[in-house]
Amino acid sequence: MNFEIVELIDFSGQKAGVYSIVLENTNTTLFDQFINENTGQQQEALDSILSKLILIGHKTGAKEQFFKLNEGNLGDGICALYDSPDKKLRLYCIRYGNNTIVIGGGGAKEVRTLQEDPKLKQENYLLRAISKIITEAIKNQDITWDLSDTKLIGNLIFDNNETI
Amino acid sequence: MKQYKEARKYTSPVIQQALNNISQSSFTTVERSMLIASRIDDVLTAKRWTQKLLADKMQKRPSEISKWLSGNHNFTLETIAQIENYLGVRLLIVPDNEVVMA
Repeated sequence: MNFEIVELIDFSGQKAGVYSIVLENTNTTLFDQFINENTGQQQEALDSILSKLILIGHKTGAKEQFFKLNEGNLGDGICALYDSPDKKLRLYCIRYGNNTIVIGGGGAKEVRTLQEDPKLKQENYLLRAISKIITEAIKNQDITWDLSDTKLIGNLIFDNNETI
Repeated sequence: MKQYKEARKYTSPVIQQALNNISQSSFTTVERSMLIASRIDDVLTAKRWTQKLLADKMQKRPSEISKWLSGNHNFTLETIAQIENYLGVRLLIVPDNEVVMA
């Protein structure tokens, strides 16, 4: 799977770097797709999530209590940003401490577990696969990131990965 | 040779349009909730208190504290006053001399 990590300048700030993913052969991010899919029918929840992302970047950082944690495999940092527990919209993210998040896609969760919804499962598992590749890159020092900085630095274009 | 570059800066018409659609009142509601939650979290960290300890002191369920800290809670003034009393800090400062011109 080939992709590029890009920094979302509308959300990134002094408290947290906010990034998303551009997949190979596309021009826009997974987050653009999420907005397109949820504008209208999930407008209130979408507005709330967008507001949260601005605040996370500029005022609060990505504190773990703002997210539903452990939405992926053990230790892969996959979590979900949501409006409120009784609202359905979920935006899947990879959280690196309080200062960096990579956001993907998501959707309305109308089922008990995400595996019961093909769309949510697809979005979540895509981010799990991306998280695994990023973790490997951090381990190999192709990407540097540390707790005191909001920036992911390094080779952020992944073009040598096999299809997952 | 490893390349150490920052990520490409990205925005799009889709993101811009979505941000323009957010009303100021909707943003302010989320902002208040998140800033109060963040402030409570910062004070707990500074005091080295766990959420469980605050719950015990306030005789609340831990799930209630977790809800306050989620950034989604619609706080009442009564709840804010209670939390302020237990933490010994102000969470909300209301300007008392601000004049709004007609």
